[in-house]
Amino acid sequence: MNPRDASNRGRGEGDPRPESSAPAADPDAHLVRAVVRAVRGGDHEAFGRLVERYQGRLFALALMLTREPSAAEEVTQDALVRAFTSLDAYDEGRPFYPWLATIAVRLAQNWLHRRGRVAMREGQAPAPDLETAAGADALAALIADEDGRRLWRSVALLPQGERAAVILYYRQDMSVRDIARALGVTSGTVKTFLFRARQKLRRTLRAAQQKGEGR
Amino acid sequence: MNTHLESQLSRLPEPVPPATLARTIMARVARVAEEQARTAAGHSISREEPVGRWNDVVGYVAALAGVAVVLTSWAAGRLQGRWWLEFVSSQIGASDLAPAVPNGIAVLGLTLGLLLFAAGLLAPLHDTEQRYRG
Repeated sequence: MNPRDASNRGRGEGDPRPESSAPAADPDAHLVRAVVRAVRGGDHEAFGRLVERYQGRLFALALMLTREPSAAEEVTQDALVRAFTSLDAYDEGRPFYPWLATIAVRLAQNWLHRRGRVAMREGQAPAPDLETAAGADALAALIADEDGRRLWRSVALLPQGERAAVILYYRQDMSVRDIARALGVTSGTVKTFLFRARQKLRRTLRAAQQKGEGR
Repeated sequence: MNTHLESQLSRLPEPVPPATLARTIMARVARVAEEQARTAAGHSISREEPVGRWNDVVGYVAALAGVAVVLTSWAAGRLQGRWWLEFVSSQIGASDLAPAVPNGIAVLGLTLGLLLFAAGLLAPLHDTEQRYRG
């Protein structure tokens, strides 16, 4: 039986990953520890190594959540600057990326709320940018591969919680418990998000495949 | 299908972040670090506050001591002065009961008290001004 089978993992059973990632499992632990100590010792330039290491991953997460490149850039910047200012609050015994992702998710959620409020005040529904031509062009500039772009767009069209869970779990290898902490929900909710997301994506991709065969 | 979908999802493309992103972040980090250093310097000034507080205490004590000396000198002056002797003399009908009491000590006490009071009054003002300037 496939351990990631929907019937099994849809409600969370049989998850091959540990509920929470142990510090020893974090491949960046040494780098993070060295940088954190250097920054706490007053060498703020050392933080550049963490920026280089995580900016791509964080930008992908922010883009998936906000679906707007300029907003993703803003969220990535704010998240890393906030991580720098809050570095004293970071527990070295825990992996760094889930902590950083939690900051980014909160900032992206704030951005989405702000955008929703503005759209409501101006009397228009907030449309996902990827559905517009300009949004598609922006995405093409960021993801060169056409198939990759199609898959990205399919995931990006999922509801906020589901798309966040998908990218954090499948692409960024975070554990269910860490994702739950980042999203501010329970582990069960994350598993439900993943189950629903898989169902929807399967339908979307099947429809796209049939459309391709019909031509 | 599930395995296929999951392997596809694990290969979800990672969009390329803008080339200037890292530089912009580090510029902001440098600004924040500068602000933090400035704040830390501010804290080190406020850590010297016990000295300032001690100066304040000395000032208040001096002012109160000044008031006390002035009051004591005034009371001593009144007691050593002629008015009560004159009053008593007039009551008992003796006109030369009041001896010549020298008022020099009372004047000296009053001056000393006023000086102490002024020193106490000015000391905290000087300290506050320094703190505002800092």
